[in-house]
Amino acid sequence: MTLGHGDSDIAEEPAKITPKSKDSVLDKIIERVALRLRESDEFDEVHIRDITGLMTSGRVTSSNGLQSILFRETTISQ
Amino acid sequence: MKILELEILEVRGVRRLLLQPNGGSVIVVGPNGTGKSGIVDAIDFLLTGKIQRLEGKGTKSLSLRRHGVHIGALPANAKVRAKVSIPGVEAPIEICRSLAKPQTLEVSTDLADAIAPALSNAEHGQHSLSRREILRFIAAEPKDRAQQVQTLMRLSEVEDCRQALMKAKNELKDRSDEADRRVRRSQAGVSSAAQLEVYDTEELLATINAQRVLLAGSPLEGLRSAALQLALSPPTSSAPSSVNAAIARKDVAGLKEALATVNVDRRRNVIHELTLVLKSITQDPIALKDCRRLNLYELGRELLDEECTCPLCDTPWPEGVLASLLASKIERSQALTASMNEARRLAGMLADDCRKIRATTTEVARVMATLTPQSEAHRLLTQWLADLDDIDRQLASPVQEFLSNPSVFLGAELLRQPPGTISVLDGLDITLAASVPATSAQQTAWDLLTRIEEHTKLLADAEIASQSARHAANRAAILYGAFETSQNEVLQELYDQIRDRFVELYREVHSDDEADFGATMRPDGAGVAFEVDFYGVGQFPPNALHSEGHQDSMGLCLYLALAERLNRGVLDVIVLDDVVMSVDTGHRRHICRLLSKHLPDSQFIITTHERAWADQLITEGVAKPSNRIDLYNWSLETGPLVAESPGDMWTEVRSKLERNDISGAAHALRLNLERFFRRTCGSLKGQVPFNVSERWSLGDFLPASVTRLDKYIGEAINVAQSSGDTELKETLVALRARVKQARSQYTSEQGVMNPAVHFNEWANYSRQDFEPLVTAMQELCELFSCQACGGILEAVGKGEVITEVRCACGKSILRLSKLKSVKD
Repeated sequence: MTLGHGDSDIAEEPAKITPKSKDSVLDKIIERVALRLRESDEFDEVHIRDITGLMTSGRVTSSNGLQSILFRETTISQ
Repeated sequence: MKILELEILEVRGVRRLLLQPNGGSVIVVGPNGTGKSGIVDAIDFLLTGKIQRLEGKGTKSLSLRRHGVHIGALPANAKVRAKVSIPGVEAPIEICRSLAKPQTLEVSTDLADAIAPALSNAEHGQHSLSRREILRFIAAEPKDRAQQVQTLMRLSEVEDCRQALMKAKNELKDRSDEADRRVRRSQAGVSSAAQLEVYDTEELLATINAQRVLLAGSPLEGLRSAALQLALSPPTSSAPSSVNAAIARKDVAGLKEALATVNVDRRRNVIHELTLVLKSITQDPIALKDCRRLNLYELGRELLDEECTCPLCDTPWPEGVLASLLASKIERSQALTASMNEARRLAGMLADDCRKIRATTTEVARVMATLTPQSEAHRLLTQWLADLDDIDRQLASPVQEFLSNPSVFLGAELLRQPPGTISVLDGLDITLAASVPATSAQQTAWDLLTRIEEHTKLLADAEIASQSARHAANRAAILYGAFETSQNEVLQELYDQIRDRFVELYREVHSDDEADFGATMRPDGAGVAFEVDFYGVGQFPPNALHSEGHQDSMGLCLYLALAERLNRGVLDVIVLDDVVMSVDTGHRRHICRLLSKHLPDSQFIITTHERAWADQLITEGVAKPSNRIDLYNWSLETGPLVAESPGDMWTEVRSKLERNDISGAAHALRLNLERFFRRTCGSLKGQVPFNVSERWSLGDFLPASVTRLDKYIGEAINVAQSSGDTELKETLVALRARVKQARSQYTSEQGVMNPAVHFNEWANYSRQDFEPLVTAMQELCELFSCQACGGILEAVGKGEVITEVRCACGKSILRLSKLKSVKD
């Protein structure tokens, strides 16, 4: 069997196989971020779940998604 | 993952090469240009689909397809194949990668998932270290070093996350600030609509109620944007007009008043004052930087302990020096902070004027748009409104604006109306008086309420948006702070672990000269600060005071500490490509011990052009003799030419003897014995007579080694006797007898070993004479080696005091102090 994305272009990046390690540095940081956010009145559990979910999946790099969560929570709390 | 078998076909100068290390370490030795790097590149390619040497700076014109394949070979024939072992997987897995399909790794079984973590680690360069890369760890700026460490430790995802959170925090702060400015602009709009000097809710309510009374309504008790005209009916006494002359003329008068000389002069004075403050703030960039760190300095002063250690980096300071430095920085920062507050106050005054003028001008421009929409006067006012928006934004951050564009403030013409504005306003007033019909007081009251209501609705919307933006910005700041604090904690823990291991490994290599070595490693902004102890006099950057050889050791130890943490049990292959060039022979032996003792489960692929280092690696037990690859030449047609494996020295000598090649055997025996006893002399601290030409031979090394070993055994016998360990004493006495017997043998050969003899007399021996000599020498050499690990014995102690003689694995030990025992 083979690992990889395809063979068409020699110049492309090689296959990226990055299984998420349970003890990755980022995961440890996210765990502690969640604990700290729980100490703040500004965040609720849904909020924390959505933010840490974004961070874990790597999608936080697009800050639009994050901003909409931060604004959405503001709207709900009002 | 370990490599059991490796086959390289038509890759990077290698035509065909088969290695069978069976999971053990491999030593590839050969002069420059014999194909060592080709083997390293092939392993790199197999694991990653890339060749690091063909990437990075200065490799723009290089490509895998053109320069990865051996010259003249087809990509389809260029491949690297390996059998590998994976922990937890019983059977070996075969993997293969071809230059024709570099992105694809063919895996022999359906256990691709088992091999994926090792490949993932390799992709981040965790399997290979060259001397070029060593210096990136040592001689790098904190940011560049961080880049190296982050790549190796796969921390880039952490940095990506941090940057995204910071970007979100900054963007939301900007949005919140902009929303606040919109609120203030809306307040100016409301006060301008109500024709008030400033925004004041009581005055506003009074104005609204005055209009309501005129319209026979009851006064309101409070301000509600939607209810200003509650229970009122529009007046019917006069027809409504698109322009209310009374209101419009008052707007024009209000704007003229704002632009009157007296107000222009007042603003000019404020601008002048602001400019002076801004100049004083920005003339000292260091103070400006200090000002941003005021909180840190104040916290630092609070945390200073009695030992005067920096609370941030733990660096000790002379008593009172750091406290005094912090005090002066705080004093200077506080003075500057006061100036910055003053600048903000003055800029705020100007911003209030700006918004007021802007709001009134907006009302006047609206009238003008109705009466003379295409006129030059209308264009003039519209353009000025856009300028006022810019000025309002610039006044929000005066220091930054002044630093980037001082001319904004220096001209003192800020907020000065465009030439001809007053004439335009005079003309408009005349038109309003002459051409627009007058309206009743009730209609004016109704129109005024309508206008105020429109603006109060805008203000309410702005306030809601501002509140929402402020909440979001606050959350983003808390989130970023939580991330940064958590990141620093986790990274510091990680760096502490790596530092501890690094120090342990480095002390192993430099136990003789830096036994008390220490280091600090900590996050430094986005970088990694790394400092090392220099003989107890303080912490310095690693490339500041240490020799090049020490720097090489540091780079190697740091890399091993990092790689070990990430790769243990996942990717055990570590390629060390010519990494000890600047390390002297003595410390290289320590590196051998480091590799075999501290990283026994790693499979090293070590390349070198120095045969002495290769010999050391074998005799110190890092690799088996059968895993040594001697390359002696290279050609385009053949690729690397591999010398017949020499095996250990006795195999080499006896194989020549078997072929009746007495001359060859004698030469091999002499050469190998000279190398061997040179090393034992070094490891046991044997004393050879000083020779001004610095040319010593077997005749010097062998007696010195034997004498020294005999002395150590004698001391160990004394220790055993004083401890009452009869059994041990007998063992040691027997050992000493073997040494004595060997000594008598070499004494009879002394003349042959004499360097004054210009030819090797052993070559003239018959086979019958030579064989007993070989046996005797082999028995002698075995006395200096551990039968378990094959490593030679080494005298260990502190300074000149030797406390024990031991091998690398610790199974052969001669204790030279009490309560010790001998094994083997």
